[in-house]
Amino acid sequence: MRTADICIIGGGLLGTATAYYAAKAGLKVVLVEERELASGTSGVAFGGVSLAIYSYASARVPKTYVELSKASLSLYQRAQQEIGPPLDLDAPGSIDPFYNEEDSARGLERCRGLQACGVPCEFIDYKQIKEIEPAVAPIAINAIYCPVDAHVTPMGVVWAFAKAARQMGAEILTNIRATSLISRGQRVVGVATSAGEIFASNVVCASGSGVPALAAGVGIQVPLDLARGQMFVTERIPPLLRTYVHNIKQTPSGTIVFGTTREPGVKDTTVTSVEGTHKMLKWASELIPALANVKLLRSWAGLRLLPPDGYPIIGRPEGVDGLLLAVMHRGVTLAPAVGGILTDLITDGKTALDISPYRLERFASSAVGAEAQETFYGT
Amino acid sequence: MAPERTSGDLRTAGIGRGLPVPVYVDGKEVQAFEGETVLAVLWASGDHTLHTTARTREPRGFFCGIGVCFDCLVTIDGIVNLRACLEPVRVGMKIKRQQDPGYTHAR
Repeated sequence: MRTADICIIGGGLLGTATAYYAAKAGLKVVLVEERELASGTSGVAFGGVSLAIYSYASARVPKTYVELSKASLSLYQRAQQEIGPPLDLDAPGSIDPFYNEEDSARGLERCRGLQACGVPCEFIDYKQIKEIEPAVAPIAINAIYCPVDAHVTPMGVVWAFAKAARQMGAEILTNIRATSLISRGQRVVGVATSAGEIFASNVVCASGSGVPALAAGVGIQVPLDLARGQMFVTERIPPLLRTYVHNIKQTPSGTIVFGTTREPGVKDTTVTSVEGTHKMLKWASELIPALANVKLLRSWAGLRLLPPDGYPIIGRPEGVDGLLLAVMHRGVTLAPAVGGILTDLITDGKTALDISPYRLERFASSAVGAEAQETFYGT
Repeated sequence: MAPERTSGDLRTAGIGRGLPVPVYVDGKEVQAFEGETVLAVLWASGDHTLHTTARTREPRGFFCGIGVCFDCLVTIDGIVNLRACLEPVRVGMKIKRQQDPGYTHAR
């Protein structure tokens, strides 16, 4: 039997970032991962750490959400100083293109909103896009350009956080399945696993699609939609892209990584499809015509997690003590902020960032889901 | 007896060839012959480095010559990473020896 101050379920970005910040705060940390580190969503994600690009095409992004993203980018920068490689944060800036007047109008509104939140972004026309990123075709009529936007290799970051957490004493255990939460009355006191029980005064559920079932075991309903996303990587080519253009980036090795589809209701999220591949290649080569002559090396597919309103579920749910949730769509961007927040909640009982909009209880009220019905840009 | 070579050219003399095909190698006009591959043209020039590697910038020539080893990658008419051994020459083709894009990828 193990005991800890905090037991984290899930060895992805959210789990390992939380392990890092909790260990740094002096907590005794145990993390359990069912398979290997980064074997879920973190291992398949694009890797954007963005203040300006949001998956939903909503015109308004809540200030609290922008603040979370800004805090996360700062924490990434600090973590990179503290940890070093393979935390490979690079900040070439991003371009989020719009293809028609209607999208542009919403993009302009989003840009103004982001600027009001202190994001140093600009709304630009095609001529300006061309100056920054000559490879982009004029099907992009406008764009939001955000020069501070960054990206990472998510798998590398998971390993970096895990290694750093271990060095500070965290136990990171892989190939151990969390089967259920152990509760005493209204309090979660530990985790039953395939390798025995782990007792902890705080249990963090950060295992993505595994969270609803675990939480349901203690009477907490976590609504979560799942979709398949397909990603692609090309051969190495000479420098073509400086920034990342929505979800198209050139890695330091010269490959182009891009995606992603969003396919709800697909049972096997580990296989790619000819239709999805065709659709994404068409989009990418229309936006960046030079890609038409570049050879595709490989594609992969994975889960995309979508809380029904598109926004994260962070913190302690009502009705049960000792339990913390971290379930979201933009886990790569938000992981360090969420890790810091959960650590603050455990050590101080409060956190400096406003996470009240991201309580689970918001789903108990109506008016949920309108945002999620809107389409993704470019996919 | 060693085969005779034409001057400045490693092609064996006295063999029937197709029509002359002018191509450009690294910007310089070079005479190739119909039916030759890009690899044959580059090899005949005597400079056997076809590209340099991404990480260590080491020179690479061809290895298999039949499309399998991917060690003869060159840029042809702006398209990178084409196998020189599989590309027949065409009039006016612009062939470039590649410095492979790689870990020094500059922004």
